[in-house]
Amino acid sequence: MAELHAALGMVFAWDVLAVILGASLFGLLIGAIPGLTATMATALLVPVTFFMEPLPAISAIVAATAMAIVAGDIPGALLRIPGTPASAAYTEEAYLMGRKGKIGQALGVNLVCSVVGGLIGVAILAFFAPLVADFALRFTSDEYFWLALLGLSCAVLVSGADPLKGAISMLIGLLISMVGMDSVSGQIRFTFGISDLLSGISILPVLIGLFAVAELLRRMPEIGHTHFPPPPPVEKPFSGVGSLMWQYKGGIARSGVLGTLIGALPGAGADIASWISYALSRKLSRTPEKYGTGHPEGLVAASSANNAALSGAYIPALVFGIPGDTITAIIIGVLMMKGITPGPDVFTSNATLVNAIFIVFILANLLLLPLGLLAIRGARHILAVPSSVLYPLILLFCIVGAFAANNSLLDVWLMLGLGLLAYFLVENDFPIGPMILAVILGPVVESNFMRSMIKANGELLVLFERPIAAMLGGLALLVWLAIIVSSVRSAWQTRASATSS
Amino acid sequence: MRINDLLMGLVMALLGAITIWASKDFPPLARQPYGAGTFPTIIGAFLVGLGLLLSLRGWQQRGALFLWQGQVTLSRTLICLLAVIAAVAGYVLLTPLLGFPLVAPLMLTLLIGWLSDGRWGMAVIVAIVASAVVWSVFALLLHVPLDLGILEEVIY
Amino acid sequence: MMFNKPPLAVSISLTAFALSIGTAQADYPEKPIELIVPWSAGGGTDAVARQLANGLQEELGQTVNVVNRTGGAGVVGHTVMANAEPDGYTLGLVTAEITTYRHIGSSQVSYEDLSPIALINLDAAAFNVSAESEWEDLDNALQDIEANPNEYTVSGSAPGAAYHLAFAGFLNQQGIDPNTVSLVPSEGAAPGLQELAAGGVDFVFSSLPEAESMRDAERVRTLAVFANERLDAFPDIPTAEEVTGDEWAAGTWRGLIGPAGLPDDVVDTLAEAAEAVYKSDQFQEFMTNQGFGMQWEGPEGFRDFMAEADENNGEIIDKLGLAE
Repeated sequence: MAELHAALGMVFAWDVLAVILGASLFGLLIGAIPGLTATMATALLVPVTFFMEPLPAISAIVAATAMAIVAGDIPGALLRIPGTPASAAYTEEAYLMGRKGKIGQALGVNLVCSVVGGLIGVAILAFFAPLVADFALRFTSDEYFWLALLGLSCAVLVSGADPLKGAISMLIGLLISMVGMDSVSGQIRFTFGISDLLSGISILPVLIGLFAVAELLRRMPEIGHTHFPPPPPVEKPFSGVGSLMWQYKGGIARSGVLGTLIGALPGAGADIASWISYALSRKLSRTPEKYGTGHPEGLVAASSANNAALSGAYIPALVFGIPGDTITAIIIGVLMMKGITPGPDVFTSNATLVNAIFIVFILANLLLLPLGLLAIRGARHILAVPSSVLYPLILLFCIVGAFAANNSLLDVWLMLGLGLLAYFLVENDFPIGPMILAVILGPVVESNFMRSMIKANGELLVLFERPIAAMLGGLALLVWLAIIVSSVRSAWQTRASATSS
Repeated sequence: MRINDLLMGLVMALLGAITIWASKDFPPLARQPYGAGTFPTIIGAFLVGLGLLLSLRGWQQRGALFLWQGQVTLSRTLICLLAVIAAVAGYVLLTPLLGFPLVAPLMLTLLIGWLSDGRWGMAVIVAIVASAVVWSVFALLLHVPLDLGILEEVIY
Repeated sequence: MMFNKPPLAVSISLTAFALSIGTAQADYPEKPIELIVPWSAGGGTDAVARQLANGLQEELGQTVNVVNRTGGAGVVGHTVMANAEPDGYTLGLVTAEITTYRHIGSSQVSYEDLSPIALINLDAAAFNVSAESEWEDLDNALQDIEANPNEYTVSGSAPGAAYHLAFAGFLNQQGIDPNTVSLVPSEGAAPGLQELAAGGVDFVFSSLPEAESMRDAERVRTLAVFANERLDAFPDIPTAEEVTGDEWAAGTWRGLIGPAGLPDDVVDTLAEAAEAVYKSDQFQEFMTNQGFGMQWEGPEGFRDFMAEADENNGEIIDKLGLAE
């Protein structure tokens, strides 16, 4: 109880509240502008959070991402262009509702479901994370090794249609993480004689390069080619929302839980949660034929799920230091910069901070209501911001942000190089998610493996000696086998189709 | 720009081979076969294997080596890429000499003016205001040492 | 500001000219100062650095930012300190490991590459075991280590770190070959203690405050501290001498430094500020509450202190066969 009180005291300080509000507004802007994602909002925020205390830093990211996901629904409903990928699953549905004259209702449902879904996610996070943490206190380097390896494999599996390209993207991320001095042996690797690289490639230029610069490169050529039509006016949001919510209460609860669980899987984030939730709700619906015609049922399910997934991703991130999605990969990076290594002991040694983070989640989700309403009202103006002005500003922000962490111009070059690399990879259908997860997880996998080997004098089988480790290990090997089989099969099938045609 | 998987795979396999070669001299830890070279070698080996698999798949598809698709022309895309590279390189090379307060507004003006098809007046105003905001947030509030360049001598 | 970024060669001779051109640095510091910490935040060194930074900030009237540069058993951070521009805007909190690297052979960086400013702390290492272990006291543990060579593992730092030397030196003193307990490297005490509580290793060396939250949670027990007297903040924890009868005080220490060639007037300004911080009630209270040992040396004394430690460690490392 005393901890909860202390946590409340930490959150209700004026600077933390101001940061939450400011970051929410920032997330609102980025989310509502088509093409700019919640992950990009996070990457752009990190340089500023770098200078904050841990709690405001995390609050900023939590608030900005929740708001960005919600604001992303707005251009979807108004213009049929999803603001962020997390809204893509139900953009069509919301837009068609609008065509039926229910634009206010569509946006109102989006907003309220997001808040409810988010709160369900927080409740599950706050309840389960400490329990899992208690269990994880029994974990040694053996278990951590398998867990991190499992995280890497999930990241590849769920990243997209092509596991082969996902795996290659992951390997490139692992290579990036190898640069610098190895923490176990002290060996210097791949620094090319550059002393700034001794401590490795810092996470900030990687994040900004992969998620902001690459995105800019992709969008910039479209300037002048895409014109948004003026959005229709929004009338009476919230009218009829209450009865709709009540009608689909079961779907909301189910999607909230499902979204949280999907979010907790490493690599699967809000976008995948909303697709799966939409599909499941259609399957279970009594009126599946109405889906795709402007029917609110799928909208309700998917917009609850994507916000719940945001919270779910924090479970593995806080408990094991294994990111549940790209955003929590950034969060782990931020925490490590602050000297807090996420792990089960954080729940003992930093219990107040953890509780404060949960409170921030609740607060940020409640704040969605007034700010979301503001965003709906102001959508017209946000969508009128010309990309030709916005993109150069984002570029300057990227440069200064990459420089800020270490005051190093080398980091700016790295940001540019990694941005170009990510751009080319994405153009060729390589997913970026596995790469960033690998940058975070690479050192975890390696150093825990090395520790286990030192304890066992190089005896590999010791990794299966402890029961939990054996279970995790079996699972990890199984998933890796699945990846390899499906990669080989994809090559095989192409050959079959090539010869038959 | 789509590059055929055949080429992408070969590049990845080459990267893997270089990694293996570069890790061969890392010594193992005492009393065991594993060491600093273990993981880079495994990663390199996987890159070689999966890269070759990718190029095999690409070869079977027999597509064009380079393919351009999308509504935007290739030249427009290339110009944009070069503009971003030039902007970042210009910033890195010029700020130590000229200082942030000169380079940032200049870079923004050029980019905004160009992207907005010559609305230079607006570009200049936005550039100056935005640079001032970034300066006050990062340099004044967060104490990031943004370079003053020659302005340092003017001010001090 | 004309001496803001002198080339390295010039900077060394700069010290000699510092008096004649002292006026150029007279308004030092006029921009934020970076304090490099070679260990991850959240550990003992980081806590001291942040407290010192707060104090210096008040004394100097400029922001002092703590920057953690971790990796390679502290080599990375110490190398960054040594290679920084000697303009007084990049300082470091040096730790005992600086006197080990060149003996181990992990790096040539040594105290000679630094300008000592002030020694502010001296900390004893402690001997921790899991709460579930059978060892009730240090004597039990020592007997088992002696009886079962190559059976046990220890963690808490990278090889050759000050606490590792303190632990190995202790075994050596007790007539046990320190190489019969294998070291599982970890980045600092916290991950080592987590591994200890989970049953991954048998012993972890750390400072007393580093193990405090785990001790309070009853996940680990501390059997002894390597100090001459019990620490005021931890009166329940016996010293090694109380158990073994042999005096053994070892651990780590921390001090404020700049890169070699720091102008004398900058060193003086900083030493003065550091002393004021050291003597402040706030700092004394913080250090005592956290269980950090207090020890003060000015620039000259600190240089002698490091030279002596360097020599001693050279001998121990050689004896232990840690040199590569």
